Amino acid sequence: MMRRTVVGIALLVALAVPVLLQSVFIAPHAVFIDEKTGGAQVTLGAGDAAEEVTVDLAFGYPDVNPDGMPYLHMVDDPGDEFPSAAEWIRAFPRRVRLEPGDRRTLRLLATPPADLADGEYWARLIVTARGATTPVASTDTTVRAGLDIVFRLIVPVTYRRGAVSTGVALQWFEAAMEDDSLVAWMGVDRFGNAAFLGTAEFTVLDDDGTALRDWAIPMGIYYQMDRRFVFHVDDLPSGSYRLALRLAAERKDLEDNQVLPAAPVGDTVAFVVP
Amino acid sequence: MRIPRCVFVLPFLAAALAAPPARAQQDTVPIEAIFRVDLQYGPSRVVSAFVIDTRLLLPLTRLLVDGAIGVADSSQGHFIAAVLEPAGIAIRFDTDSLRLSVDDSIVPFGKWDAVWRDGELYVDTDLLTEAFGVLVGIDWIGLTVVVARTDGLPIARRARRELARVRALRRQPAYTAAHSVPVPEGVADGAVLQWALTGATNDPLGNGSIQFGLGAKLLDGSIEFSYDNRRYTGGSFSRTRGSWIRAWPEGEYVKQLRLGDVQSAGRRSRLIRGVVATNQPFIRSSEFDLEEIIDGVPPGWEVELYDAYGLLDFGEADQLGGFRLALPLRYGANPFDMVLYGPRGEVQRRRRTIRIPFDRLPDHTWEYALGVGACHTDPCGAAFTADLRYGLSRRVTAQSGWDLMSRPGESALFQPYAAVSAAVLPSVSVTGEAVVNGLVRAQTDFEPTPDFRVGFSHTFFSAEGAQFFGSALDRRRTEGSLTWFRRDNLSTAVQISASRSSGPGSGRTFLRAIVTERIADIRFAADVRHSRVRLDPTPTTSITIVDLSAQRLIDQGPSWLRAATIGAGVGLDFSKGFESLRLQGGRAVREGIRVDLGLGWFRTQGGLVMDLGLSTTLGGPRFGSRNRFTSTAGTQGIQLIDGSLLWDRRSGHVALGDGRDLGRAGITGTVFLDLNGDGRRSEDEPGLEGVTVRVGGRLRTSDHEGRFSVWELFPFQPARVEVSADKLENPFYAVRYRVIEVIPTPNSFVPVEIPVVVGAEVSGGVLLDGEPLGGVRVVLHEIGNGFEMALITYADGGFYALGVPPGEYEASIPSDILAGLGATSTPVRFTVPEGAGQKIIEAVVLFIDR
Repeated sequence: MMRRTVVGIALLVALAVPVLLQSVFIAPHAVFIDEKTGGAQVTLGAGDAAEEVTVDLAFGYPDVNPDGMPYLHMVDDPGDEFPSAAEWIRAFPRRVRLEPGDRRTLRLLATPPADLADGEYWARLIVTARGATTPVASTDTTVRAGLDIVFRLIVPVTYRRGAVSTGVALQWFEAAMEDDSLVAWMGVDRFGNAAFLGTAEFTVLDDDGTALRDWAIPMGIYYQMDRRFVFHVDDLPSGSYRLALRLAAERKDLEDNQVLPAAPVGDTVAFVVP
Repeated sequence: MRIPRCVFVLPFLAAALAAPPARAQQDTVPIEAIFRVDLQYGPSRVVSAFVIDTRLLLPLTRLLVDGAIGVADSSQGHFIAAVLEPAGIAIRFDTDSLRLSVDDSIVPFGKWDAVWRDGELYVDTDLLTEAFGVLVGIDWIGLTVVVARTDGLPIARRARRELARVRALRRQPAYTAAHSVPVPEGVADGAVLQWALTGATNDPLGNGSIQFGLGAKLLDGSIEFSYDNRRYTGGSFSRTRGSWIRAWPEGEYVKQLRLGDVQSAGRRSRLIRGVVATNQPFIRSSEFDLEEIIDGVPPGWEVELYDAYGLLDFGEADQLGGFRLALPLRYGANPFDMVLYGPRGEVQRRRRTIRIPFDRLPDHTWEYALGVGACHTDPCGAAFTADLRYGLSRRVTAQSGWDLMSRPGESALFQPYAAVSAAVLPSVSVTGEAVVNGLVRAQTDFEPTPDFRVGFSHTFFSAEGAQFFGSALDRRRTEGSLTWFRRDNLSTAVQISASRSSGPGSGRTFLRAIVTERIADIRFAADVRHSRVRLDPTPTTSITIVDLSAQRLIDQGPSWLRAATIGAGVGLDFSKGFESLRLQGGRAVREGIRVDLGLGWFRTQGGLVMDLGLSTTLGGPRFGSRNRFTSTAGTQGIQLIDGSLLWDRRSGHVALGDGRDLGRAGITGTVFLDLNGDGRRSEDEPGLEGVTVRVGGRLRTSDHEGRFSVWELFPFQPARVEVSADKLENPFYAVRYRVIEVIPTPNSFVPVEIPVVVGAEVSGGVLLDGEPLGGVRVVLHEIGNGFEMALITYADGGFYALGVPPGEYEASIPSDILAGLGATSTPVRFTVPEGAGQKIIEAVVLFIDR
């Protein structure tokens, strides 16, 4: 019979799966609009339960905190400092009730200012869902509210106008062991007038150059960032190794025409497993 | 991407995993505890449980009941056996042998993994996972157990069924009244020219035919003329026909009037040159009636009724096990499945069918037909026919009438008749028919399932009128048929038909059996035909031919070969030996163009044969070529080209058709932005491109000027034109009429305009005694035209609507809800202006006061 610890790990996945089956989903998970299309469509769907959905747009971008950990930096009033599209992209409908299994199309309409400069403008589509309310029956004076649990999904919305370009410069890269984990830091700056959408590929190499481990992490680099990565390498024998980084404008989860071309950058650093 | 509801679950799991058994008891004495068990898709229940060391033991019988799992057997203190339906998995917890058996697999367990207390077996959660595949999460702090991954349990299957039923009910289209477009006025409209040319390959001018047809709308009917000239070796003949047909679908006493060269109506249709009047519909609806399916199952079972398109009805057995389901019947076969669900997850299927013959009428409906005119092809000078049918009940239709025919050189033939068509059981139908000076006939069909049908008929012909039934030699005829399908991996089909007829000095027997079977993507067929003909004084002839063939659709290999069909066959005449050896193949070389090639040896052709065929179906004129090259007779074959021209009088546009368009009808339309809101298109109102329009079930997309066109509709029958606001590019756009009803006219296009208006985004809220009220219905009522939109408030009391058409509106709470709440509310008015631009109306607040 399985040990309870194993069951616990399995539970982490298994209990999440059936719950996920009942939730709301949205596709695609990234929206791109340009001058020609002027808008986009997003499909919103409910699982096994009715949902009340509210749709908003706000400005935000992926950022890192001082510890190098990523988070979504939401800016309530971006002003002129940030290339925000949240003020002139609207989502329709803004509210919708989804019955179980329903599919609805959300439309995003962009009405940018006439004097908008070439470049990329960002917003976040915020979809908030909660269990739908039960209609009040004519003979029922007790009003049932919806479920108290509110879920939020945030999807990046990118508007591109005119000539757009992007690129990254690797400012510094270092790696060291901390306990049983390999911790890597990467300082990267972005240039051009658009975000860099790409993948950071890390490879652990031995003295012979043989790849022992590799990881691929999708990244969106909107501004300069010092990012920290942690990899579990507790099964690596003691010895000297190298960690190679390749940051390239390649994303498996996006269409080719959605990823702006950019020259790949990379570096290799040594680290020791004690 | 999914909203990560697991963020809600994960803290709970973290708590469950972080506060583990260390907090549980550390001895081997069962400690009783109270836990709440949440069964996914099932009930939540507080139960007594036992904690032993690091284990939690739950009451098995309670879980079986909640999971709707049947207990097959049990012996207190020894074992509990259960059956997990519908797979029938036998599960046995045996505390004597300390073994869990799941079908053939055995899982040993320890003595503290399953213990008996007070007649209940308490089972370790890990053991439950082994037995039922569920996953169990334990919150030791909150004393809560979540049983997840229950999809395999009957209770979860039931929950999913209920959800599917809700979805199926929601799929039912809820059409409101359609906006009707008047039939265009005018004496004449439109034109259709149809043509077909055929010719022999080696002599197309000397052996062939020319056919022309011309049709138009005239006096709201269809006028058609046809000219047919056929040439053959040694002669030719020409034929001209003309007719005018009009239908009144809503007429009570006359639904069709036909003049000229037309088919008579009645038991046996005849081509006459005269007049026919009837109240039979021009196009008979396929819908017949509702059949109540009454059957029985053990009490507590649920029943679902399916046809090929999905769930039709569902219900539960009453206390006696009876149930009733409503099956919509259509003419022809009505196959349906009843899926029966037992309370313990049992699943049974019953496959049935009900066939409605086309001569059956719904309950208490009647149809008549009168016709008089000169005979065309029958051996009579003139004919006067009368027919009357009446649906005595849903299952019995009676029919009576007469055919009175003058015969050159003989006295007139009077053939009064009576017939009854009845379903004595849903699967058994009988037809009886008696025609004075004609025949007496009885027929019965038995079709219990869609996979089996057997029919039998016997007919006595009178000598007097036999010539009008195509059987001048026969005095009696017996016919039988059997059809049987086996729908499994082999997919076998058996069709047997037999007939035997006899008359003075003659007799014929015919038997045919076809067996087809699919094995590994190859369809094999065996066709056996036997005929025996006796025609005194010539000797009796008997022929038996067996034809064996195999055919396959190529779905792999090189691209040039994929989608090709290849086949081979051999024919054998029992009295003469080999009849034929054949190889054949065919493939669409491009969309709408197909080439077929055959090679073989045919005894009747005297040697080797090559067949070459070419056919096109490109949307306009069609071309077909069939040629045979033999070593003895040379080249033989036929070439065919046909097509039609469709003229729209209003636009002057001429479209190409495929040659099957005479008597059909069309609709042309424009989707446009109705800026002034008058419903009619002005010059400054643009057409909308790319709008999907459903016309009579056919989908079309508007062009850059907003135009669309559909042909091949049936005239006189209302056709629905639908545009879904969801499909419009601009979310503010709204269709003024969701459904437009058009009655197409024959041989012409009926124009229709589809106004799209710029609607508004309307939002507001409902407050009950100052607090937001969720889940309440709000109605937006357009004061001018009565248009209504019903909304439900969200949890925060807000409501929202997009694409609200222009107009003067009143937002209100329905009176029945106010009465239920014992409250009052004052409606709020707002205006959605006409014209373009974004229209956003906010803060429409309804106050409910008690």
